[in-house]
This record gives sequence, C-alpha cells and structure tokens, in this order.
Amino acid sequence: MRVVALLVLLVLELAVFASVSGADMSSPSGVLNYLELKFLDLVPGLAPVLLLSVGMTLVLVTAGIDLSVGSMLALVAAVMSLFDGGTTFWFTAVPLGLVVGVGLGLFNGALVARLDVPPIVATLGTMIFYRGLCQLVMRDAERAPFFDVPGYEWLGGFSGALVTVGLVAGVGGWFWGRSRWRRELLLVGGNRVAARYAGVPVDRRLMETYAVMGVLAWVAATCFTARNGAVNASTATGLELKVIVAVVLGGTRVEGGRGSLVGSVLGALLVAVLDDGLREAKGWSDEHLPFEISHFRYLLLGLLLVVGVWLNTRIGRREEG
Amino acid sequence: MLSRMTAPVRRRMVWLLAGNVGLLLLIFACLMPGDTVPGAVSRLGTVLVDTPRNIAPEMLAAIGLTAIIWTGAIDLSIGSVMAVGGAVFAMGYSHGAPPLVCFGSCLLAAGGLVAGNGLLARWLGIPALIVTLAGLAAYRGLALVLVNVGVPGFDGNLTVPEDIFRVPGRDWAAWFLLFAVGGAVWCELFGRLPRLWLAHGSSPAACRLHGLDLSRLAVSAFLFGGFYLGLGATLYVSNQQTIDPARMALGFELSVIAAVVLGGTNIFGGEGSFLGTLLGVVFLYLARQALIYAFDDPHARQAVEGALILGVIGFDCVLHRTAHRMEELK
Repeated sequence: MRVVALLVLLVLELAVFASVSGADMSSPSGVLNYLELKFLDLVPGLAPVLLLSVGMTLVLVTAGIDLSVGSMLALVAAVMSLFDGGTTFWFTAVPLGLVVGVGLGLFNGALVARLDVPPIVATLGTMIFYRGLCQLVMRDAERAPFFDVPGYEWLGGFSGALVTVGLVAGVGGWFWGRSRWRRELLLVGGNRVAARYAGVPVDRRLMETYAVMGVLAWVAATCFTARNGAVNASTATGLELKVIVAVVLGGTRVEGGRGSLVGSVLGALLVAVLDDGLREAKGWSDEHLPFEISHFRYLLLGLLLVVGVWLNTRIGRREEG
Repeated sequence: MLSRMTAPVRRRMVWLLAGNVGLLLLIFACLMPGDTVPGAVSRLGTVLVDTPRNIAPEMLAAIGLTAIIWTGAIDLSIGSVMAVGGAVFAMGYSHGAPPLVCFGSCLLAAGGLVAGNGLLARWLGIPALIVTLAGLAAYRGLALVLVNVGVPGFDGNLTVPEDIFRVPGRDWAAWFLLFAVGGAVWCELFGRLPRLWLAHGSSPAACRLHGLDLSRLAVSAFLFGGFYLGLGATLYVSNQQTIDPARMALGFELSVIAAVVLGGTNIFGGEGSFLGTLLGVVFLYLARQALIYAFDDPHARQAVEGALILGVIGFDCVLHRTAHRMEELK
C-alpha cells in the first residue's frame, strides 16, 4: 500500500516539476524523452543519498539515528583526496577510505552501544567533530585528484552509479530479507530488553550496524567524488536530513522495530526528484516568487520529516489497535 | 536548595567549581609567556570582565533547555531558532522599526518557535526530538526565506552599525543575565513546576498514577524554555554587528546541550539543577578561551572543541549507564 502511495507521489512530483520546467509533455515520446533525460541525470547524483538511505534504514530499525553521515562522507572523501591521482590511488586512497569509514562508524557505534549516549546526541556531536576534522584535513583548500585516477570517473556516471546502487541495494536487500541478523536488529529496535533476554548480543549488533553505515559512507564518498571530482571542507553539508527524510517517508519507524529497504529507495527517489525539481524551477521561481526557492527546500524537508513520522506513528497505532 | 539536589549533581558542582578555577589558572599560565605578571593579570581581568557578555546568550538558552531536558524531551532546533530571531530583527531594522520593536519581535519569534515545538509535539503525538530535528533544517530555511522577502536588497548579511541596536547584548547583558539566572534559581527553589518537570522526567508512569497531565507539563517546560531561549536570542542578535541567518549560531545547540549535561542534568531527564547548568556554561566558555590561547590554528580548535564536548557527554552517559540499564531491566 505504502509502495503504491509512494509511486503515485513520485509520478505527481515528476508531473508538477515537468510542467514548471516547461518540458514538452504533449506526446508520449516527449514524456519518455523527459523521463530518460531526467533519470540519466538523476541517478548518478542520487547514488550517495540512496546508498546512505540503505544504511540509515538499518540504523533507524535499531531505534537509532545517524546525523553524522554527511560529515562522514566528507571526511572519507577528504582523506582520499590527500593522495595523488594515478593507478596507485586504487591501492592506497580507496582502501584507506574504507578503513576511515569503518573507523568512524565504529566510533559512533561505540558511543551509542558502549557508552550509552543517546544516538541523536552522539551523532550530533560526531557530525560537528567529523566536520572539524574535515576542516583540519582540508583547511580552506579544494582538492581534485579524482579525475586523474584511471577508471574512477566511471563510478560517477550513469552505469557506474546504477551498478553500485544495484549491488548495494540488491545484494543488501537479498541478504536483509533472509538473514537472522535482520530479525535480531528488528528485535533490538522493537524491544531492547526482550532482545537481551532472548540472547541477542545487543551491543555487538549496534556496533555492526553503525560500522555498516561507515562502509556505506565510504561507498557513497566514492560515488560522490567520482561524479563531482573535487572535495572541500563543506562537502555534503545537510545531506543527513535528506537521507533521514527519505527513509522516514519510506515507512521506517524512528522508534525502531520496523523498516523497509524498498520504501527507503522510493523515499530517496522522491527526495531526489524534489531536490532536482526545485533546482530546475529556479527560473520559474525568480519570476513568480519573492524568495530563493533553494531556501524553501529546507522548509519542505523539515515538513516532510514531521509528516512522515506522524503518518508512520498513526499507521503503527492502527496496526497495534 | 543543595539538600534538594541528588548526590551526583552536588558532586558534579564541586568538580565544576574546581575545574573552573583550574581553567582560570591554565589561561593565566598561557598568558604568562612574553608578558609580565601584572600584564598577564590585567589580560586575565579583561577575559573575566567580558565573560558575562559573551556567555549571556548561551547561559539563557542553557537554562531554557535545562527545563526542557528535565521533562525527558530535548530541543535540537535552538541554533536555527536564533537564526529566525536574527531574521525577524533584520526585517524590523531594515524597515526602520525602533530598537524596542526589533528586540521584542526577535524575542517573540524565537520564544514562540520553541513553545510551538512543544505544542506541535503534543498535538501530533510524536517525539519532541523529531519535531525539533525537523525544525533544525526548517527554521534555518524559514530564516533565509524571511530575510529574502522582508529585507530589501538583502545580499547574504546585514550590518547594524548603530550602537542603540546593540545595547541589550553588549551593555546590559550582565544585568539581564543576573536577573534571568536569579529568576530561574528562585523558581527552582520555591516554584512547584520545576519539581514537577523533574518528576515527569524521572518517572512518567508515577506521574500519571499521581494524576498529573504529562503533556501539559511538557508544554509548560517548552513555554519556560521558549521565554529563556527568546531572551537568549535577543541578546545574541543584539551582540552581533552583522546578521547572517545562513551561518548564525551554527552548532549552537550542541554546545548548549553539552553545557547542560556537564552541569549535572541527566540527558534522559529527571535530574539536574540550574546552578549546575550555570557552572557548566562557564566551564565550557573558559575551556574555549584556554583553547584560543593554546592553539593558534582555528581549524584544530574546532576539532578539539568538538572532541571535548563529545568527551563530556560520553563521560556523563558512562556515569549514568548502570542506572539506565537497571531502569531498562526493571
């Protein structure tokens, strides 16, 4: 039901932004042409949000949250940018990026699982701490060694992004649907005390979840740098909210215990189309609105988050009732 | 008053007092090289004289947030709320409104948004955490839209050169601070509401059995918090010469949360004191001053400050870990 609702919303969103941007929608070929161009442009830019949405779904399922994903992505990309372009980049920067991503994820996990810091406070802290580290690494510079790495640019194109997202969402989704790990995470999020009594190693599962988030931040950083080619200290600022909104719209409960990867992928598509549509509508907004439409995006994202959580809460209550 | 506090809060206050004295000595030691003893004493005196003005917005926001956290809720949107206050102030200023109108509208806008967070959480039945997380982005966007619409020719920031618009934040900050903190402590000593907020955070089930209306209590804490945060926003905005809603008070929420937690308030609610919050804010301010003298590199300073805040919150949570686990297993 929710999947159908999300698909209808997506079609509506596309139709509204197509009319605002002045695309030719008078014939079926015009519509197909618009959709083809849209998705060719959208998928590579969408890849980081989609990848992080998969990780955020796991984190939210455990009744956690990770506000540091944008800063993690930026820090991993910043560390990778310290290396010179060339073939050696694949054997030095890329594995080091993975190590940094896992390390950052584990640090978040340790704060939440070992020190019992509430996830929102812990990751709000690491969001600022990692951004501080990123500034320490980057200073005021912008580095761009990525396009000098042979084969790296492919990851930022349509096919590379599609393969990466397909592998993560497809293989991850297949594993997610069949594993015992999934059931344990749902139990941890649904009722932590029951999970402890049932013999689930709660702290270890939490650490693993945040570590997976770190790995996905590394994959997202790779896709991001392969597409944009450069990184600076303010890279990916505000990304966390887009990811959270996508996951919540997809039907994952912020209180934990329920989540859907398919819903998160559709939620990420909705957010990406909205983001892209607002950018495309700049010309229209300059004529018709007294403010920059890009500022309106933050308002919309906040509103979507509240509406998404409210709907999830209501649906949850109705199901329990 | 001390007898009303729990033993961990009392212990924390003693540690904070000692820590503040230690930080003052550290700052003095940092000032000594390349200066005579009277010179270093004079510079330390300048740091102390500037302290009330510099900490006033954070202190008032921290007192407001303390009340909210006591009930087991939290407000993550306070930095963005400050930005909205700044935007409203800028709108008034650019349209030639008198200073009092600018200050009043800033207070009302910021305070109203915080109180609105509490009401929204109550009406929708969703956690205040989510409402204020959404507010963190939405209010920043609102501030930018407001200055776009309401400030003619706005190009990213607005300079306020007239001294009259900076009186509350610059010249009267210490007096505002004195009265506001005094009022909060008086309220904690003799008021009924602070006790009920603590009771709410400590055991909502017990409060419900006692016949208390929990959602009304939570909203009253947000109203109290809204007043203090509105006052803090007014002092913050009127202490700035340039109003830049895109960057104004970025990360403010975390330093305020850290100060509150450092002051002995349990992040899960039900424990704490306004006096502890006061000491926590002073400790963080002095630590920041010590970092300024110890590190020349501003980039390193931000990372170290972030690590310090995380360390403080982590340490607090470790202290409460056993109690929290026991509560969870009851």
